[in-house]
Amino acid sequence: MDSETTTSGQDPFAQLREAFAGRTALLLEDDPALAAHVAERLADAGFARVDRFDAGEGALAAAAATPYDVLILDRHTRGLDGLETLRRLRAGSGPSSDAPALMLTALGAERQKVEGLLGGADDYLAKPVGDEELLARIAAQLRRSARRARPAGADILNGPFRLAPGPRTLKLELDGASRLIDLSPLEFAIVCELMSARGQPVTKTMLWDRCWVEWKFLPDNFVNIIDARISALRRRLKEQAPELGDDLHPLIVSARSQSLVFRDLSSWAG
Amino acid sequence: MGGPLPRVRAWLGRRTTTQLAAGIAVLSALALTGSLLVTGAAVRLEQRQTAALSALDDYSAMVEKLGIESGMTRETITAADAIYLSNWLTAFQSGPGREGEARSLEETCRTGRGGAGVRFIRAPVGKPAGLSALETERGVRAPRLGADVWLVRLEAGVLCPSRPVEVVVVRRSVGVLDIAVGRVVDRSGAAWARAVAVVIGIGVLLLAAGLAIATFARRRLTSAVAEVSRALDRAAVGDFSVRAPETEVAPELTELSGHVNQTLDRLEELLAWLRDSADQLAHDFRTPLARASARLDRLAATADAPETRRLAAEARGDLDALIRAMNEAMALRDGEAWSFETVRLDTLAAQAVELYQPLAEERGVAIRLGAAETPVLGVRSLLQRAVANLVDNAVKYSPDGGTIEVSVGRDGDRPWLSVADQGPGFTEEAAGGASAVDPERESHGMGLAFVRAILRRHGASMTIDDARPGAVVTARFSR
Repeated sequence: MDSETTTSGQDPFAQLREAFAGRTALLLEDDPALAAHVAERLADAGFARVDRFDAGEGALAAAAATPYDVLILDRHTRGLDGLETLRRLRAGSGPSSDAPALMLTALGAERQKVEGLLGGADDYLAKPVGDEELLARIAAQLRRSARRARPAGADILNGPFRLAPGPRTLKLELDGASRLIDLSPLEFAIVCELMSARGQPVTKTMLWDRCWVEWKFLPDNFVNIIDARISALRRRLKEQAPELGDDLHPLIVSARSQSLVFRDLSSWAG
Repeated sequence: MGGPLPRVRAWLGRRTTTQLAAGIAVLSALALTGSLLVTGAAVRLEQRQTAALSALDDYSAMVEKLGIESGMTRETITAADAIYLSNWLTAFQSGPGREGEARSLEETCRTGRGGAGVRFIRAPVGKPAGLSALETERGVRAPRLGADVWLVRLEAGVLCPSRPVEVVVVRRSVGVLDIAVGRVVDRSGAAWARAVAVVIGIGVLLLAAGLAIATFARRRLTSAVAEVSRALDRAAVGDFSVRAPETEVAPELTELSGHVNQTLDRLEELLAWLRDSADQLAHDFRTPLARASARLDRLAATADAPETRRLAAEARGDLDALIRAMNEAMALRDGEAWSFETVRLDTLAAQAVELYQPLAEERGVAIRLGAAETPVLGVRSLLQRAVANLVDNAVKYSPDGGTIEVSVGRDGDRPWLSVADQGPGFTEEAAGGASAVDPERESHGMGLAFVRAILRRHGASMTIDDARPGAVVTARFSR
């Protein structure tokens, strides 16, 4: 069963340690048990430092003085709430005013999500959030802030594959010949999301949020829906790129229980 | 039980304003007609009295004249005397008449105006003199006009060649003479015509004024009712910014629109409270849930015993079920769950079909969509959930290789959506989610209970019919 397929090499989550190494995070959370849990997870994953705050004022003061790689904010906090803290932080010019911010909150309705994103958050998660989800989302934010340095809309290369986000095409370049891979818009969106992660894991919830945008809620069995789509997509990629050989297919593999990875083909030599 | 008054009230209560207004118009017309009849009778009486007075004057003059000519007795009187007296009377009656009265018989016959005199005198001997019809047509006695006064109707050709006339006659005997002196009664009279004209004029004026006022009042009331309806309509789709105008529109509605506005204020307050309390509830629920799931994750990561891991995984499943139930409850209570907009039901169905297509294909289940453009008023996110849940259920319960039919259409202006599968079908109580016996079936029932709650929010109904094989779930909307 191909949904059981995992990477032949290392666990992609273990590889995140590299991305997290030496990073610093600000955590605004007034529930001590949750704050301790998140801080511990981040430290385990490789973060150099996690500064915990239970009130917005303290977080704001720290962010004005220290450059953080990522901000994790609850909304309901003592004193200044998370959303207002973020607004003031974004309006200021401190070293962390442009840091990627992730809202981690109990208020998970669509309206509140929109409020959060308009308030300057880069991602918005409703509690409870599993470790796998949290780490994958933070990794995505770090990738995004790293990508800001590069020109927007640049092609993404992965071995023989060339993905052009502008014209929304995926091409297979083999022996100097380039061939268009035929994908539906949804399939292209999935491949684009996975290839942008460059070998890092993408959770199914993240895929849902970014590829099934017209759906304003998470259906109970979204995992089954995504799995069925991915199976079809794997077959499609295999049919259209048989040259890669059976040992590289499927190109999309599972990581842990809820994540997917597009195989890194940079070392593939044809 | 129920005397006439309550029955009349009940009857009035069933009449519309227009019916009542028409009733009043009919009553007014009857009253006007009645007053015209009464006026007519009064005028007629007055004219007869005028004629009677003239006739009595004539008679008095005659008696006076007879007193002077005292030589007339039974023995001496001749037919020539009667003719003489008649001629004298004619001359007297044609004397200076009162204003507005006819001077001559010719004028009376031509115009119908009254005032011309008639007479008939019979002496004991010889032929009588004057109008013999006064003797043959006795007429009726009119004691209200005076003693020995008669009202005689003379047909056309008797006095006047072309018109019948009414004559008031005094019939008395003086000495040996039988005398009948009369005057023609005014036919219609200017007075009555004036009265009729005035009454009709006032009637027309009243009618015009009444219609104008009724139209104005109706317009005012209609537009005020429209304003109140608009406020209620907006509130029904979750927009509480519109209020009914309380004054300056129609005083009849001030109390009603005041109440409507109070109710809207209260509703808005309640919804705000519900939304805020939903936020608080979400916070109060999610924080301990987040702690519990963090602890379970840690337990699962550190446990060595497989039994512990299994229990942790099961507890995790329980938590997920709890979170799902909470999300559903929150979705129905959330703030935007009251803002209705126009949503294309057919588009939602097409999206749901596309969403579940790969899942269905894996089991060889075909989903067929038959949808015409069907807008419906509702909350997009909730309707999306409802349609997706219905298709999800159908896919879940279809046998491998089965067919699912998703149809969207309209009955008149009532949109409907139905999803038919070829699964085992299910019983009503499972659909209600009340007593799901089979755990396999439980989620089916729960999903449908949520769909039912969403549909109820939209004033829509859900029916489940046996399709043999399978079930058809139909949602019917009211607008």
